Amino acid sequence: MSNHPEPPIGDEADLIRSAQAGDRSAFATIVDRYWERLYRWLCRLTRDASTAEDITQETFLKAFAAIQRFQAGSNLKAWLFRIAHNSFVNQRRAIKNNRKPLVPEIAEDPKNPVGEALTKEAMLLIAEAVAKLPSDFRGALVLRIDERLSFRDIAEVMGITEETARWRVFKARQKLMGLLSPDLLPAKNEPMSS
Amino acid sequence: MNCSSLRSRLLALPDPTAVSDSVAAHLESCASCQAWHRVLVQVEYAVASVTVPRSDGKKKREVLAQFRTAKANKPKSKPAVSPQITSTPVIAEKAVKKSKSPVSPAIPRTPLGERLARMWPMGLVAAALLVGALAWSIKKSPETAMAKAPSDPMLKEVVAAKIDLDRAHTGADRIKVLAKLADTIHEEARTLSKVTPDEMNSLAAMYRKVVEEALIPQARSLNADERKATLPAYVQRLAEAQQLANRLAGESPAASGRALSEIAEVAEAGRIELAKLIQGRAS
Repeated sequence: MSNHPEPPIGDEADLIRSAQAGDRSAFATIVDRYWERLYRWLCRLTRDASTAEDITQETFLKAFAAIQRFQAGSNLKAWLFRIAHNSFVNQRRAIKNNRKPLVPEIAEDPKNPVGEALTKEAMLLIAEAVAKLPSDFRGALVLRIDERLSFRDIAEVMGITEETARWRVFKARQKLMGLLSPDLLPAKNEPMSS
Repeated sequence: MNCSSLRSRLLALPDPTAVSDSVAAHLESCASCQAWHRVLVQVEYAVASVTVPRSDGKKKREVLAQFRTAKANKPKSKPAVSPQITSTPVIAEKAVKKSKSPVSPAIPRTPLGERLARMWPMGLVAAALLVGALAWSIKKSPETAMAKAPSDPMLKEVVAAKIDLDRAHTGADRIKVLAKLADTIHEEARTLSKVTPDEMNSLAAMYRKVVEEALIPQARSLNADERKATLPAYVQRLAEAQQLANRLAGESPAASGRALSEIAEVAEAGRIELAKLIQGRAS
């Protein structure tokens, strides 16, 4: 489901080593590699493209300032997302006050494993429902679905326990299903088995 | 397993398309849960399909250009890697705590105030981090690589200082860069004391870091002749900084006043230390 192919691990370790050794072009490659996915997540978290871009920029700056402290073998993606999340949390109040609502858009041809295309209306309904989730739930859900982060990595990013990360994803899905299943399920359901 | 517990299990799975045999068996025999599961999977894919506004890419290009055009410093040896992966977020959080209560729309702003409000705390936190890195690099080695970054005014100054430090060949050159940075922080403190007094402590800490952890150690690395030729100008600058900060401390709100007094104290201690170095009374 992720929109981004994962980079080869060895290649990334080399990049980090080079960046830690002072090779700025290696860090530029890291920026290039992770910019879009951070921006995308932050857009969905902040619901404001301009703020998302600012925080993305800020994230890489902080990351560069601290790249020496990054421990070899750790998860770079989770580390970057955690820095981004910290910046987001720090600015949450300001974002709430200044946000211009982001109008959800749907990809033209979303891949659907069950072989049934949802209607555009249904997709928009889902997008709006996701936007209405509390940001903690939305952030965790999108990290899980978009970035394929494990619950452990989500916990690392959001500064919570693994169980809380699992709980947030669970609750986000539950809320979405509560909102959407009456619209998306067939009108006449079979009675529940017990 | 009843339908309710099955659905709870599905909601808790990392990936609702990857189900266990027992869940699959229930789904096969229960049309209602099958339909519900189908919707859950569709929702997951719909969530992944939501697009976000396309950025014009300007900020990314700026950042990339700065990193790609800057000349890379090849290290003489491998740098030490500190053991904590979480150190950056922790540092960021500490910096954030210091510089909380950033933007308040209720405060009437001058154009300068707006610019500064936009800068806080993002610019300050990043600048503080960079100053920390800068001070650290000075302590470790003057050759340590530094970088360039985005175009926030304060941040730009700090990053420019880092680049200049990279290029500086002598201790005197490095002192020149550090003193300019100290002046920049001092100037920002003077301005910010009027609009965002709550943030002054962070700025005072930054000033202390640059003067105590970077400028003075760099001055110590000079030989006696270099000290006599280079340092008197900076003694004078620090004296002026001390005087100005003291004067402003009396005119500013209490919160800013305390921070400005701290800046004045740092400037005074720095001035005295440099004077001792010139006279050969300190090593």
